[in-house]
Amino acid sequence: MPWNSAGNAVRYIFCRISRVFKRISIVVVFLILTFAVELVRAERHDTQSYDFQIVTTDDTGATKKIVEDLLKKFPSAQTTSDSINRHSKTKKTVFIAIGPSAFRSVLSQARDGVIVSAFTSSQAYHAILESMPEQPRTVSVTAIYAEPSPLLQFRLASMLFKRPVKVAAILSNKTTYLEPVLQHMASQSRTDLSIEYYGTTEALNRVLTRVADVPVILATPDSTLFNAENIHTILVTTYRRNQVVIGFSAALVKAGALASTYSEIEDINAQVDELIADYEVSGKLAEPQFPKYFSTIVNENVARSLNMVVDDSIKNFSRKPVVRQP
Amino acid sequence: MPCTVRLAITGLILSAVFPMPLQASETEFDHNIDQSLPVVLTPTRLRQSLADVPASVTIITSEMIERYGIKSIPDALRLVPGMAVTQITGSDYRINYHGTNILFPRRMNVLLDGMSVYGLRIARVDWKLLPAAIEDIERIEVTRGSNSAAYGSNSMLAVINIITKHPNEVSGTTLSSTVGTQHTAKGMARYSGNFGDATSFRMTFERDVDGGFDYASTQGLGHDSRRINRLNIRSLTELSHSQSLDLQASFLQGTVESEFVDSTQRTLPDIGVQNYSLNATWKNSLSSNHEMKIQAYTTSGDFDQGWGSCLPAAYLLPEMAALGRSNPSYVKTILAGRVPTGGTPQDNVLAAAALSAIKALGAGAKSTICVDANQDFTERRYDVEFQDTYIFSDKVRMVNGVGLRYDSVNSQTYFGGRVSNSIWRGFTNLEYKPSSLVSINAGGFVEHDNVTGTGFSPRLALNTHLNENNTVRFLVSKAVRMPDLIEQRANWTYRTTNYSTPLNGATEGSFALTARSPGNLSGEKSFSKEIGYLGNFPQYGILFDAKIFEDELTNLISEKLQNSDFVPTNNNWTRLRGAEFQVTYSPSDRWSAHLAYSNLSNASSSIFEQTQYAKQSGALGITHSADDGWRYALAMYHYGADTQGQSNYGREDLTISKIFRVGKNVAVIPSFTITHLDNRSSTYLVDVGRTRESRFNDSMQYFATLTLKF
Repeated sequence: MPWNSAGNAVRYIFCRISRVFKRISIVVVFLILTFAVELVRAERHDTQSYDFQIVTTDDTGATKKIVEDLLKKFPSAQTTSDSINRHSKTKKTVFIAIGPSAFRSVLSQARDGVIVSAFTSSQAYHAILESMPEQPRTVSVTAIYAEPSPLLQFRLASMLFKRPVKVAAILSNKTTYLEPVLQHMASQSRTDLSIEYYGTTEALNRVLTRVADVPVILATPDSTLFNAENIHTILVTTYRRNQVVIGFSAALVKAGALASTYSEIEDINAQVDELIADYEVSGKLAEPQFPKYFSTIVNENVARSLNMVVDDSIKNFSRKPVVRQP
Repeated sequence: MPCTVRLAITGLILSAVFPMPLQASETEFDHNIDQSLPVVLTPTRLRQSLADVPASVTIITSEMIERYGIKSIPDALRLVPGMAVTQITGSDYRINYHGTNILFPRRMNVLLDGMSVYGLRIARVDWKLLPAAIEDIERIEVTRGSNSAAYGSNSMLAVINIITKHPNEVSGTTLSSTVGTQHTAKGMARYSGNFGDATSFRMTFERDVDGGFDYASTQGLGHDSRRINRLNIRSLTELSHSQSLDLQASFLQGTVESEFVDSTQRTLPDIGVQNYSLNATWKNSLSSNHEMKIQAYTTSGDFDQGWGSCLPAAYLLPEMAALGRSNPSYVKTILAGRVPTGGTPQDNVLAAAALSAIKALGAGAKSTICVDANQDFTERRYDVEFQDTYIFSDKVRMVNGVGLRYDSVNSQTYFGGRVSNSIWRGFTNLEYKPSSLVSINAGGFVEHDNVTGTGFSPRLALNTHLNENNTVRFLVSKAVRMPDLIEQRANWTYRTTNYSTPLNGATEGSFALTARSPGNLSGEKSFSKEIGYLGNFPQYGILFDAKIFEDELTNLISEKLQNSDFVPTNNNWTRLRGAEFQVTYSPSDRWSAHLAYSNLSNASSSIFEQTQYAKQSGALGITHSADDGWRYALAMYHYGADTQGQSNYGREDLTISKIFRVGKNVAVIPSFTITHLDNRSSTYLVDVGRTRESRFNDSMQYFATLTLKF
């Protein structure tokens, strides 16, 4: 019947349009939801139950750069250089302390909230914590240490020697907390690790002699050992023995250490961002941790002198944060 | 500086490390922050990589010496491919790179912390009288091949650089004692400490006793032991971050036994030795790319060797001595009972007088008179050198230097008094790297010697880096070895005293024969060519070095240098060709192996330049570190016998040791070495058709060492 054929055609067409429309709708809803999540996430930084304060105690170029980068991630954050702003009673405050002085300052003033220490070495972090009275239970503290992760340093050592290699770490009574950390990370990287302790009453040469047969010395920012007076002796003595020093900063590598991983400002700040985001979602504050985003530097003169082959895989040994598109 | 330095959070880390207030300069993220941490390992401090070195190099470390149970420097040198090591008597080692003349090895330079330790009278090395205990040696660097362009005369075939441990590299007290077969007994005590914050020092005393062979050389008495005391003190003072002063003083005293040299001797000609040396090195790093160094040292050696001889009176006539000074061959002819001819008119007049004097003695000419004689001598060396190292850029590095040396020897026997020589020298070496693929080393050494004249030794080397693992090396060099004092200034007569029976009323005089240098010798020369290869494969733990080479040695002074036979000339030549390689294999921290092999051909105009020659030689060493401080090492050495009179050498050593740690700083290390000799005998050519032999009674030897460190 003609009406039935036309009707069927209309129904068919309508049905096809309807299917297309449904598919488009699904896509649109998906996009809306995705955007909404981002809005919500952005709003969480700004409008949820947290105030953000970036605390510094100096205005050097480096500190300004750190703050500038952090403000991109936390646009509504307040910056303060001395006294922390008294926080509202309705919102929890997340303090991001830049450097050891800022960390000490926040720790002494905060009565509640979350303190994230950044750009402070593990030794300084622990020393400050130990020197301060016990924190109220309403204050949670964590850190992203300034120095490289020992796990990454162990991996770098294996890459440099192209095979598992024995590593010695020299600690003092200020860095005893590192021993279990180092043992754990050595186990993770299947590194044969030996640990020696150095006391200020002991001659430096003695402890260096005890590790004389170990090919790699892991340098940690322990001021008892790696200070301005000892650096010269350590680097010259280990070099004469064909030992290599790995760590702990670019300056030490330039002074004569062989290589180190290191983290840039953006690397640390990205990790701060992730740590806080995870806290917002889970309500649990992560333990103090080493940087996970890094690059690698090598003293090529020292490497060549020690007949070591440094290929691109070592120079490119790195991990960078995923850059979010605006 | 090619170091890819990018600073991130250095300042804040440093502020936590260095106990100083956080300052603006510590947190700025630019390169200026590096000034807070000075560059310690500046380019001038860094060693040249093996891939850039214009030579084949063997490095023997203190770890290798300890693990292989090596007891002396000559034994350590057996690990070097192509090194010929022959033990003549208990203390007399003849060591040549690529062999050649075993009678007087004097074409290698041996340095001990920068001091030349070859002799002045004759440029040979008394290996067992070096003023350094084996336990104080950090490493021995052997540059295999001509290196006169860098180190001057006597570096014609090789340079052996013995480097002792810095005071900073040892700590506390070390006591060590070794006993073994062949009456081996050695004790060593070392203490290191600090004077204040800037000076570290170490002091080592050693008593070294060794019984030598059971049958030694001439009379078969086995009279070749040595008893030596050594004292060595070294200090290092950091005058500032850029200046250091390294001081060393050493003293050696002892007795080296010697068997009879000829049939007239009635008492053994043992040698009393007393040496000392003072060495000072001042380094100043003017910048990270510029360093200067001044080294000054003095060495002194007193050798007293006297004996009693009984010989026919005719040998002691003054008329015979006068004839001997004019024409030694006339004296030999007369003593052989013949009438000499062919000399000058003056020789004939002197010969007539001598024959008349013998006739006047009648039967008494053959009667025996016992006398005292000696060949004592004292040597002194004074040396000062200035060296400047400048690194223009990553591509260009230059080392320049000048030096002055004064050598003197005082000996009535060898020189009729004191002789001396002043040598000034200048050297330069340029390293140019136009790209990462190529290194070019060009240099030269010029020296002027008052006794001989001027010599110039240039070198040109091209290292091609095929990639980061493989390097091919092309090298040409010329070298000059200036004649030493005995070759150029000998006036060698044995004074005789305390006659048992006066001879024509005289109770002292001299032996008939006199050896005199012609005085017009020129330097020995070499022209060396080499193609080498270095393979560095750290992923497998392999370092491989190989080379093919040709050394043409000309103007050689090959003749024997003896009082009874002294006619040195520059008339000889030798051509050395061959190939050698060495492999270091370290697959892990627990295992390591060292393999050395040399294949050599020697063509020469003189049989004496083939008296130390092996077509094939080599060494193999394997070490293993087990758990709980146990260590095992096996070392095998082989040196062939491819020339007249020379015996082959083969030896296997097994060394087992264990480290017992008591607390943090106390270690007790017992060590035991078992040695098997493939050949108990050591023979060598002393003259055409004549050899000498020294021998051990047993092919097995045992040594035990106990070391205590605290």
